Amino acid sequence: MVMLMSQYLDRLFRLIDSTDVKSYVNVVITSSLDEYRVLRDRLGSSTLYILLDNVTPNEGNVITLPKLNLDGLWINLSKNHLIIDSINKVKPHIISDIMNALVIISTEPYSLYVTYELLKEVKDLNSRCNVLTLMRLPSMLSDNDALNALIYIAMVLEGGLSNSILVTSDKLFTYLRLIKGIDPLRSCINALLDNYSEISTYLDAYGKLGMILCFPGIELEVFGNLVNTIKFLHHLIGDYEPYINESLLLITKDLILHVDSEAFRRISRDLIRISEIKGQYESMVITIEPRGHLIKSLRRYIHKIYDVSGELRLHINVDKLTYMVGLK
Amino acid sequence: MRFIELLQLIVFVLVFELLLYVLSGGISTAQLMLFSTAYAVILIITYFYIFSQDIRKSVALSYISLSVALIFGYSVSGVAFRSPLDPYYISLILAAISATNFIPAFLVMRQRHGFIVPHILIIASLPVAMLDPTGYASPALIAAYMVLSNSLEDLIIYAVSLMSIYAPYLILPLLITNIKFVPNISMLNMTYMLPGFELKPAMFFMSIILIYTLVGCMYLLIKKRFLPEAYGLRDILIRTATSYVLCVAAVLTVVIVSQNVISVPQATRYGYLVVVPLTASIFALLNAFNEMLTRSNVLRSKAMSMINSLRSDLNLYASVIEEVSDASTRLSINEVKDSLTKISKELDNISWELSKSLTTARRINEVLNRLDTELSKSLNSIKNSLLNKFASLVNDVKNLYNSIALTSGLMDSHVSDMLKHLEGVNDLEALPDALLKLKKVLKRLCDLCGNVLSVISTYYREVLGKEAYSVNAPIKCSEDLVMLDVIKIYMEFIDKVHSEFKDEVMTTYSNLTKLGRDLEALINSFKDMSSSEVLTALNNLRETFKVLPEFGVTPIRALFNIREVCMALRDNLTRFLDAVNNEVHVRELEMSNLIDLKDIKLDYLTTRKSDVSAAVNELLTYIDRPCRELVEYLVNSKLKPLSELLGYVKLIDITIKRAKYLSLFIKYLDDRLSIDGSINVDEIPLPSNVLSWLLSIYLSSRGGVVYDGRVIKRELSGTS
Repeated sequence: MVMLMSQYLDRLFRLIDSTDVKSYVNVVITSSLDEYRVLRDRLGSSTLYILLDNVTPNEGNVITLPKLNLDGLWINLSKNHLIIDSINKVKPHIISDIMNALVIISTEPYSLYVTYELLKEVKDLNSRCNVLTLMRLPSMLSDNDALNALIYIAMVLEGGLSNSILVTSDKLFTYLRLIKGIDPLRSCINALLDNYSEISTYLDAYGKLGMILCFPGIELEVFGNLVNTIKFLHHLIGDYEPYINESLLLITKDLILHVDSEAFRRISRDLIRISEIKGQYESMVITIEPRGHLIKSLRRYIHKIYDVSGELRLHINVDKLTYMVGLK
Repeated sequence: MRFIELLQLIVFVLVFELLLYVLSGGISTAQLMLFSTAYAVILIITYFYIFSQDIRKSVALSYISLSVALIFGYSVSGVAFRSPLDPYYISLILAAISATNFIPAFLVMRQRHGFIVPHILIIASLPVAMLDPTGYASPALIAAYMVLSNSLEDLIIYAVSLMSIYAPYLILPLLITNIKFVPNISMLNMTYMLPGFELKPAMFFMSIILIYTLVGCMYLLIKKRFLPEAYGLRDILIRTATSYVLCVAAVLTVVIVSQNVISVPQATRYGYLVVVPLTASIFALLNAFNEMLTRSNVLRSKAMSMINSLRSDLNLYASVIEEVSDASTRLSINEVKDSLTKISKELDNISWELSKSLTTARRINEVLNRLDTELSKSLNSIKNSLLNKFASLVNDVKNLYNSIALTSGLMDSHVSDMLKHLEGVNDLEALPDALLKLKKVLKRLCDLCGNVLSVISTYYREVLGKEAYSVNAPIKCSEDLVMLDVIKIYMEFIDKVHSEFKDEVMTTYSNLTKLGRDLEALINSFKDMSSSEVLTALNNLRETFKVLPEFGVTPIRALFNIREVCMALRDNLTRFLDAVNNEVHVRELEMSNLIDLKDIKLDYLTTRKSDVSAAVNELLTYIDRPCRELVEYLVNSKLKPLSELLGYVKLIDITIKRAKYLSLFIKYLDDRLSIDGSINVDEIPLPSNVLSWLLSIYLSSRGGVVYDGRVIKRELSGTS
């Protein structure tokens, strides 16, 4: 009760203080300075950037939180005063004006905890706020990483804190950086934001959770056709037997395909069209897959979630999570 | 009427009445009547003199002067007034009554058009009515007004004017007790002699005016609808008779109506029946005669004007014919001359007839019709015949010019403009000048033919490498129509030269169109080339051939087209070679950077380059030869130098594209090898050519890796 009162008082003061604080429509939470720079170029200064990093860009609309190297499950971090202080530092800036939020996180417990708490705050103040979460899975997935990711996905989606969650692989970006003349991070984030509406609609129909892969700067002459390109993209994240049925393919801004088995057979025909538009746009393939390889790799840990949620009394709908990762 | 004019009228009336009032004390009644009438007449003459520019003002002032003078004549002639008022006031009342004369004055002032005679008659009617002892003159004049009117508006104005003029005299008996003292015996006096019926004379007068007005209306209606225009004596008589009958009817009506109102002696009534219609008929006769004279004058003047115009045209045509009568003009003009002489004689006859003063309007009208229909048409036909002959000549020259332009492909904008101008000549007056211009055009065309001979000789030399014709002494051209034949001879000669080389030209042309198709096919196979510079050069090459029509090409047109296309082909081939060289240079630099970076050998590219250089050098030896040889070489070689060059550029392009992913591919293979130990290359989702290219590079750059049975794996000896 006292906690609840404190929370409401806190909000009341925040509202009063908000006259002195500049309000923002968009908020971005990220733990990478590179991502911040890309998004800064894209979204401009009308966005509030919360950077979970020690490096401080000297700008008015950036809040930097200290980076804490913590292990274990992120849900156990609630007693850490440093994290609570960090969250309290940000809260005054989160007011009801925020309409869009983009969260780019890794599986580190610290960043998961902070973003979860901030998303709760954002959704409490404005339930209509549009939130997209992009979760980067590490190249080598440990048990703790997988559990952290699964618990986070379950709690965020169960609580309605994010409209959708996209999982991607750090390993993919490591590979893509080797392509000459391409900034994969910038290209992929821009393509994601350009096509957000399509992606969001698609994910709403498929449990709000999906894997995203992107391949900017493709040369179809080298890969032969689009199917090869997509297959090679999967190879890069260790998926040698890709199954992309029911996935969404975004090929530049003009060509969007929802792949069912029939459509997949037709993809090759679109090569001609892609080669025609190649000169006008940067050729880019994004795949959004609700049952992608990365999500499959998480589902091995579902049985552990039963134990964790029981021990920690987490309100997680494990059945729903099981469905989302493709076990049912 | 302006305000100042109105003020002048009022001041005049007041001064005039005051003067009469003063004078009335010292002179006798008879003297006063005479004096005031004479004074009014003097004034009227003065007005007409002063307002000679605007006769209506004079008429209006005359109304007022006369009426005022006569009213005073009566009012101060010793009659006893019924009113107990002082004569001074009575005179003021009379002045006010006399002011009704302003009404006709205003009407006259406002009427800007119309015949002035009726107004003069109205002015005259009042003194006549006063002084005429018989009483016939006044109704006779009133009836006369009516037959002179030309519109309903005129009639109404006359009626209102009359009513306003007579109104004071009709009101006068109401004020005077003993009217018998009025000295003169007149129509008015007779009406005043009926004590106790003061208002009846008023009704009588008003009804006379009304009846005459109605008769006037009828006459107007009949005249406009049924009577002929006054073109001759018969028309005049019909109109006079009609007016007479109508006036008799009017007088009879008046007599019947007035029977119970006033007593007029029987003899007087008969007198009315004779005098009034007769007077009115005389005026009608005069009016109709006047109309006929006016019409005759107008028609005569129109006819004379037309004759003058025709004569002027006739003179012009004659002078033009004189100027263009040169035999070399090829315009046959003898029959035209005869026609003109005939027309001239007819015009003389008509002029003589018109000069007679007794010629009626009808006859003049007939003459006018003849002038308008026959003679004008004859002249027009002569004019058209001459112009048509000239147009035909221009057309001949134009056809010749088109033939030269078609044969040579050389256009002369000045000649084109001049011919366009000469085609538009439709005025006989401009014909001599146009003929001179035509001669100038012919000279220019003759010069053009000489030029064409020189040009085609050069073209045959350039295209076929053969000497066609050399002009040593070109024909001298002059400004003469005979040049028309000279040009025709020139054209025959040019055609002869063409026929000699026709087959060779057409073969070269056929080769050129084939080359265009081959080039199109070549470009289509390389259309995905990434180099915009090379693509632009290729497209320019393609554009070169688009000027070639597929069908219906004459040998001479083919010659010009071949030369034009060849010149563009040489330019565009040179540009293409430059673009390819530049592209190869840049791409080879890029390639060498990649090779240096990766330490990978791609030797076969340089081998290809030497092959290509040989083809290019061969092409360069042909590029400056005559067009026929260049085209034959390109057709026979099936564009080999171009396709080899493009193939080389494409090869570099593909290699660079592949090299962009080289680091990624190598890391991918390294990682898979380190994780899986071996890779089945059939699993790698890349096209076979890319895969073999990648494997050759990978295997040459990685020691301890072997390729065995479509599997890449680490060498066993290396791993042990």
